[in-house]
Amino acid sequence: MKLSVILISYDMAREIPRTLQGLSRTYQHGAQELDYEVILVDNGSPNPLDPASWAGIDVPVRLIQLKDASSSPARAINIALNEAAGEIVCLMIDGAHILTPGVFRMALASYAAFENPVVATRYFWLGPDAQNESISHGYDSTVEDQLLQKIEWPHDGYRLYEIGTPLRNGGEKIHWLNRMFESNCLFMTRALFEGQGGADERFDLPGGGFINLDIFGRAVDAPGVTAVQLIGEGCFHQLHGGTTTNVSIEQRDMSLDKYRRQFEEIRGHGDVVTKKTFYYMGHLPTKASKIHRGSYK
Amino acid sequence: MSMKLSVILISYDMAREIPRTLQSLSRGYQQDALDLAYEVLLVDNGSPEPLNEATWADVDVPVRLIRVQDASPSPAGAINIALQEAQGDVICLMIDGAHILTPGAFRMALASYQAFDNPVVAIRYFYLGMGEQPVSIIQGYDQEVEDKLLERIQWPVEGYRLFEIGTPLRSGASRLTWFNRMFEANCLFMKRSLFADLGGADERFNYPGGGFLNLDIFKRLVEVPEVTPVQIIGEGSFHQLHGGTTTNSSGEQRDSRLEKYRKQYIQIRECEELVADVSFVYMGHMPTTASNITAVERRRARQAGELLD
Repeated sequence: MKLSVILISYDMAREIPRTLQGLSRTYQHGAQELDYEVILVDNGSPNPLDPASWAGIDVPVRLIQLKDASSSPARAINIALNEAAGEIVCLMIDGAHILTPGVFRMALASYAAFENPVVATRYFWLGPDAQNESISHGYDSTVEDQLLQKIEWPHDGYRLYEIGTPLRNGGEKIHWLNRMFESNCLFMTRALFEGQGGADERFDLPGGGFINLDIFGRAVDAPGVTAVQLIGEGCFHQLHGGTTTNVSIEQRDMSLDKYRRQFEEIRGHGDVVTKKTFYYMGHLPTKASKIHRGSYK
Repeated sequence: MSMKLSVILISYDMAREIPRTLQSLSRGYQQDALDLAYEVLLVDNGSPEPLNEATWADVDVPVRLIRVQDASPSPAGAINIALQEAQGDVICLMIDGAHILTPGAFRMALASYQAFDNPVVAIRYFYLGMGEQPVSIIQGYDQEVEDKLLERIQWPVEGYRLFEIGTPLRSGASRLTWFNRMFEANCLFMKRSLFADLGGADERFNYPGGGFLNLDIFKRLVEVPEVTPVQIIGEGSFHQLHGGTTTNSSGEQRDSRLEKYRKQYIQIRECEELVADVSFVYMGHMPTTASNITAVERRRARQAGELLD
């Protein structure tokens, strides 16, 4: 098996069918013949996921329901990693992300081109602004549904750029070549991830705290790894009750501080951003994908 | 071991420039080239003063010199002679032999062949010096200045420092990024079979220097349906000052030449469009701060007191 997608879900009954649509054989380029699996872990949602809600989607998905789940996704990731059969793992720690259609193709091309790559897909919000901002101006799941309808998603997946906003992380100008330090769609060889012991379960705060940054940083900093950022492909965050993403700014800052402290405690340093040089792989499929020109607005 | 890569390097009156070009194509300079099965076919296209092999005797490069005696002033015939001799699966065409490469050009181009079907890989074009040479020569840029710049960055010790002393070819673009669409390259990779199937260079482009021959080759290659056009990020080919036919001539003289070239192109291709309407794949890296060409451009404009949009 070539690829195992690890998809972690908590209370995402609305979002998961679209996420799976974004991972389906008919949507991802070159996926018709691809030997892959999606391991969807429901990490103890109060309302369990219902497979009937994605029955019409052609995606090789397997659902794992965790009963005695912890509030961090760390263990859910490791359970899925243990089940994964693919040479390459694609980790989607927040299952509410919709991908553009060339993510698999470009990520797999990176494996052909480079030595032991870790491939990061850039993070976008659905909607006109960072969702922490936009929700206070009326952005909600109804608006999101209407936006997706407007671009006739999933008909032409690259139209997501017309209704999304790149995660800025404080950067004034966003550019495809800007350094990333987290991704909600991160590819690495299974051997690499296993060799690092998978996710570190000491990140036990709800949502995992900085576990995603920790996994990213450790993977790209591993010796012999080629760090790769995709150009022109993205993962788009759907609005849901996430622990940092969809809360107000004040609430978020408080959580971030707690996360940072835990990270320092576990790693013994506060460097969440790697100094590694990135490689780039990708294309600019549409005008709206030229985020460096600001045309996504 | 079968030959992987044949570099076709065309030279006319470049006794000063060719040793540096070869240095940049050498085993010690190009990354991963120590064990690479490659050859450089250097065609001296009838220079009045023939190239002297002694000038690159100490450069570790698998080069073969082909002297064309009854050369035409266009490089088209020279390219085809070299293509005929080439053994490599992949051709790297350097139609203007006065270009110095950054050290990852081979590595990135060859990685594209691992990743994509039938790629045509373009390396971005830079001028050596702080301005585009057709302009900078009027302001005093000359070979002596160029030598000093190369000395200053201690070239070839760290090849990526070329970005510190070069200027990207703008081709009229208002804002320059690595993503700007290319329509010519002086370091263009393609499968040998692809180039051969297209008949190589079209020898009807018979003007001195070839006129729009280079654009024609680029466009015809990337327009082949099964080709994946690729632009490399963070690698460049840097044009050394020499008596080139359009690059190093000034103003009006240059415009009237370009007009003549355009007419010939339209006559041969029955089409006015010089730029292929195809999408490119990007591949590469950002090896140094100076390789961030957009930021460098902004900084230089600020320093010069010019406002940029």
